Amino acid sequence: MWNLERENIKEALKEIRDVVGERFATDEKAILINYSRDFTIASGTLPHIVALPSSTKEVSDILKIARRRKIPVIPFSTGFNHGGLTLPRRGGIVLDLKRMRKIEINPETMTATIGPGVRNADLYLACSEFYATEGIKLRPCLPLTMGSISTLANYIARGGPGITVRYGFSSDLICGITWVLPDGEVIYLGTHSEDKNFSLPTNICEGPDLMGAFVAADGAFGVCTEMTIRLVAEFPFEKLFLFDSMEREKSLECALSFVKRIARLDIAEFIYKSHTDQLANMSPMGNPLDLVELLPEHPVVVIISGNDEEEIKVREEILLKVAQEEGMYAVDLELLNSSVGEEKVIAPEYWKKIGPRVGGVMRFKGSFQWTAGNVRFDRVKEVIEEYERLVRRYWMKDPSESRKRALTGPAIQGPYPFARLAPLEFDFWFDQGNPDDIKRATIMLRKVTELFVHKGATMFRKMYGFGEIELPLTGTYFDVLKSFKRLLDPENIMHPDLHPIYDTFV
Amino acid sequence: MKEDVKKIGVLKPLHSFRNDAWKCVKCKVCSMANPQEVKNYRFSSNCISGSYYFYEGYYPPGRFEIVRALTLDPPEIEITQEVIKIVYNCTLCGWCQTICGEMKDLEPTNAFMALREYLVRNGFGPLPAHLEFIKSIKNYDNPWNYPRVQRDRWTKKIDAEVKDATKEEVDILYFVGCTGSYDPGFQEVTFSTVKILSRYGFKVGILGRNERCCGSTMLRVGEVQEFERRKAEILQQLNEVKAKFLVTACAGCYSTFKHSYQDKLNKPVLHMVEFLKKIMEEKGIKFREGIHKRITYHDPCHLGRYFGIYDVPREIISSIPDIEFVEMERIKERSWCCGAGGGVRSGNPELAFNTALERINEAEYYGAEWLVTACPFCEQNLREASKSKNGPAVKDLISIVAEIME
Repeated sequence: MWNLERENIKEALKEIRDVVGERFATDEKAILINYSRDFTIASGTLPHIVALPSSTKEVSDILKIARRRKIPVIPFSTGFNHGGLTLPRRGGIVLDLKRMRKIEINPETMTATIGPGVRNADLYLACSEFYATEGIKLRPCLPLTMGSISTLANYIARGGPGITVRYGFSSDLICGITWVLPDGEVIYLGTHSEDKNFSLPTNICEGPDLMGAFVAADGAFGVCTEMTIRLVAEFPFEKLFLFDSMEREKSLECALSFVKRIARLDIAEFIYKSHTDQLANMSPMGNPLDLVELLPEHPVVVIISGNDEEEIKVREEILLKVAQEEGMYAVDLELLNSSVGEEKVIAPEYWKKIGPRVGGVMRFKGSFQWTAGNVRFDRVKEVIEEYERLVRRYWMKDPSESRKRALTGPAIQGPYPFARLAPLEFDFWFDQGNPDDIKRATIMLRKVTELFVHKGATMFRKMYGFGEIELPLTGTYFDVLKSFKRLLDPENIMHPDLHPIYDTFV
Repeated sequence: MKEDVKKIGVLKPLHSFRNDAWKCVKCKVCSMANPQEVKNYRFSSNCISGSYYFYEGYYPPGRFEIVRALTLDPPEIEITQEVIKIVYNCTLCGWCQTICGEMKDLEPTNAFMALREYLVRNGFGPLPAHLEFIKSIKNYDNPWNYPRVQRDRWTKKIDAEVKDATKEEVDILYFVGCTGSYDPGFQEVTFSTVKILSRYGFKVGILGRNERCCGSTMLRVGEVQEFERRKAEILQQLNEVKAKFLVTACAGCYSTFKHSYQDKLNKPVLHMVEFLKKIMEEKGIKFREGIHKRITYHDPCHLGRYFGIYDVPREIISSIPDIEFVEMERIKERSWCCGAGGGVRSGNPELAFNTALERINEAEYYGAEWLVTACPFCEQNLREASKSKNGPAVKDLISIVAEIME
């Protein structure tokens, strides 16, 4: 078992400082408290040490110290993850990886190799200095989150990019990974195993592919220190649309049917079945809550792109025709914006930045948590309807108040190419300073997780509490996972208490 | 959005920020020069202490975490040297509040000012280096132990006439400030200010040896009680002067007067760049010659983010013949701080120097030969960093105009 005795920690800190330098490791409580809580409902404890390594070698050396001294290790990049993924549960060493900011773009193979400290906005800007071909810039498939968030961490934790409909999930775009195992050995996965320049734009390597075992392990199998990902082309022309349904009573059905058809027609670069609160959150104006009554309950945001205006025009014609057939209409953005004065409710340029581009910001005051699962597209409607029942029963303080003001809603990130499935997310905004809010958020997230499991969804990635519910149901798969963990990390030092994949999990 | 949320530098009690501290989601957008606006990833970071120390504690969410922990009952942490270091290694540049006030209605910079006041009130602040200049302000009305009698010695070095504003009515009460009065490196700006004002026919008056430190430095390091005491005395002195405007060329004095004095001052306060613009509009300024240089402008926090003065200095620069004006990446609302403010230059010279060096690198990247600013503290700090690597010349806008005007 671990050794968290004061003397052992003190010696470990001394050794870690020898690795990273005096300045970059500390046990000061004023620093530690920043790593003991995040904005989610997950709770953590203080780590004993925070270290700031700057290279794979330094990460490796620290893991060797931690293993020898039997001290848990928790990797951390930006800490913004919706699942308490970087919170220590019983102390240990937090490896804050933000000094590792390598960005290498390879325009020939259209790949980027990045470190965990690289932020979404930085990667987007670095890519935009290169071209896929004349007039067409490179860009990464960024997650639908903020520009200040680590791209590598999102990819390794299996995030959902804003352009899932065309390019798939983040993890589908990983070509290779450099990984430090719990014993400090460095393993190269995917094309990193053979291509020492980290530039091949594929994840195919010799023999069985081990890379998948490390994706979404969230630090339980070691630390990802470098990653190569595929980049895509940024088409120079594009147009944004916001669709609402013509019939209020059938708004969900119409929106889903519309999303499925345009996904299968493959005419859009970006499709996002949003919800009122999400749309308000992404508005650049004022207090988002002031907007909700103005906005649709099941809005669909679509961005079409192309090489020239003619291509845009053709796609637009198809899009509007399908919309009409599915009972949807394109909201007149100018009219909507003018209805609130000079400020914009929906600013296309802002949405494009939030969506597939640079990443936006979180505008509601308070904490935001989401939970998400991959649901077969034809089952989305029943899952959303069941979720709405949960909202009324467990979430809304006053069921007679406007549903639009409930600060929760269902969204589809994508859908997956050709609408094979819907990455379905439920968003929750709550006040972390209010114990009642935390209670209802906790209950609600548990209920929604159970709903996903019950409806046969695979969870998007580690979200609050899902592992405890879902993983034990997977039978042999669960047993193999536990054996793999024992093999790599017999002392269970790597991010213990996150996934229930060892016998003494609490 | 509440209008006062945008106001940076407003002092409130620490406990009024308790809920804000809980509501920070640690998204760290405040650590970047606005992900939606920034264009060059090399200069995308925008928290000077976070970029230097890297620990979460040194970013705004980390300071909010200290606010949260200290406002619990009982407090979750003790006030240690590390807490003090975190609190004082921030220039209060206001970027975090600019972005977070806009996006989430939170007031991090004001909360961090309240933290300092809290530390001082509880006997933990300010830093020893700050105590020296506070003592000097109390004893000599300036932070550097200069005798009061030397405060107006600069007037002997100029040809133009300056009146004693305590004795006669003037058009402009020129508040010189401590740096402009004593610091030989910044006196050029003082001479230039008088030269311009006199050239355009304004009767300029000063307080001379009776001018006293405005208290800006006291306020920034949390010595609020002493600041308020002095303020009452200085206010009375300023209000007794008969003048149409109070003009200063110091961004620190300007910020302090505008925020903490203005509601009780009986005359409007203008920074010299604002007054210069006024002269340009009303009287027109003609230049004798042009400047064949590639110039960029550094926004001082106390003019820019604190009061939104972004366009005026740029318009003045653009009016100078032959200049090639280039913008850096981090400008205006999302400007990178020079590193001198909030007591950082005296409290942690290394952090101040490295922060300035980062700005010099940025100016160099954009090919600037001159880095122009409008604040004595920015000028001093940037000049020192630039000298260390033979970087762009650091100039004050007022001096440039005074030198080439007809």
